[in-house]
Amino acid sequence: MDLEPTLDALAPRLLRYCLGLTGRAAVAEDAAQEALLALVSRWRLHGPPDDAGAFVFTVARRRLRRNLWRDRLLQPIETLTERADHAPDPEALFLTGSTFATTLAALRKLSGRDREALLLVAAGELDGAQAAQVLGIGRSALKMRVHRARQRLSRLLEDRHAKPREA
Amino acid sequence: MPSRAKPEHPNAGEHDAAIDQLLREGLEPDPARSRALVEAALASATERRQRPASAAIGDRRRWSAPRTVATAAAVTFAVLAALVWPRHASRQPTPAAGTPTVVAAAGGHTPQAGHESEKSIVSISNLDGPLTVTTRGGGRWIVLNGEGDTP
Repeated sequence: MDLEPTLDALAPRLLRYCLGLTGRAAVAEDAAQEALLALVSRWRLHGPPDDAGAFVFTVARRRLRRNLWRDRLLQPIETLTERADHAPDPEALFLTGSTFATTLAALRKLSGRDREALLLVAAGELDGAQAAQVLGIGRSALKMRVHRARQRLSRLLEDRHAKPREA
Repeated sequence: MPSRAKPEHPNAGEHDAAIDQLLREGLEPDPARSRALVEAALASATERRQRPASAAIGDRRRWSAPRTVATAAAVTFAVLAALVWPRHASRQPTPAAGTPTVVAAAGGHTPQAGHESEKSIVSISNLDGPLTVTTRGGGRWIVLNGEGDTP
C-alpha cells in the first residue's frame, strides 16, 4: 500500500463528507487538509494505520467539530467587527436550484447524527464497520441512522421536485 | 392488528444506491481541488519534517502527560506545605530572649526561671509567685537562659 495513491483515493471522499457537514468550501478544505496531513505524518513516522479511511475520517470529524464550535463562539464577535462570512446560507442557495444547493439544503434538514452517518457512508464511501468506528457506535445503530437519513432525504428531494410541478 | 411499519420501497437497495449517488454528485468536489489538497498535505508534512530541531521543540512542548502530572503534584505539594507548615510551626514553643521559657519541675519541686522539663505537666500552682509545677514522674532540668539551678 502506497501513500500517494491512498491520499488520491481518500481526498475527494473526505472533501464530500466535510462539505456536506459544513456547507462551506473553505472550512471543508481546511479540515480535509489537516486530516490528510495527519495521515501523512502518521504514515511516515509509524507506518500506515490499520485502516487509513477510518483514521482520516476520524481526524477530519474531530477537526470539523472543533472548528464549528470555534466559529459559533466567534460569530458574534465577527458580526460586531463586520468580519462575518458573507457566503449565502444553504436556504438561499436552495432557491437557486443547483444540485449542490439542493443537496446541501436537504442535508441541513436532517438531524445532526443522521446527517453525519449518511455522509460517512454515502459521501465518504466508508463501509459499515469503518463508519461505526468513526462515530464510536455499533453497526446496528449506524444502519438505523443511515436508513432513517436516506428515507428523510428521499422525501425531501421528492418534495423539492414535486413543488415546481404543482406551482 | 395491521402493522404500523411503513411499507418498504419495492427496490430498496436500488433506491438507497440512487440516493447515495445523488448525494455524491451533489457534493462532488473539483478534481483539481482534491489533487491540490493531496499535494499540500504532502508538502506540509515534508516541510515539517525538515524543520530544525529548535522549531520542533515548540511542537513537543505543547502537551505532555508526565510533565503535567509532575507539575500538578509539585503545585499540590507546595500548596499543602504552605497551609500545614505555619500550623505546625506555631505549635512549637519558641523561647523569647531574656524571659523564662518553660517552667516545669519534677514532682513537688519549685521551678526556676529558664528551666525546662522533659516530663509532662500534671499541674501548675502559685501563679502569682514562683510557679510550682508538678510533673508526672521525675524530670531532668535544662537551663535555657543561663539562669537558675540545674538539679
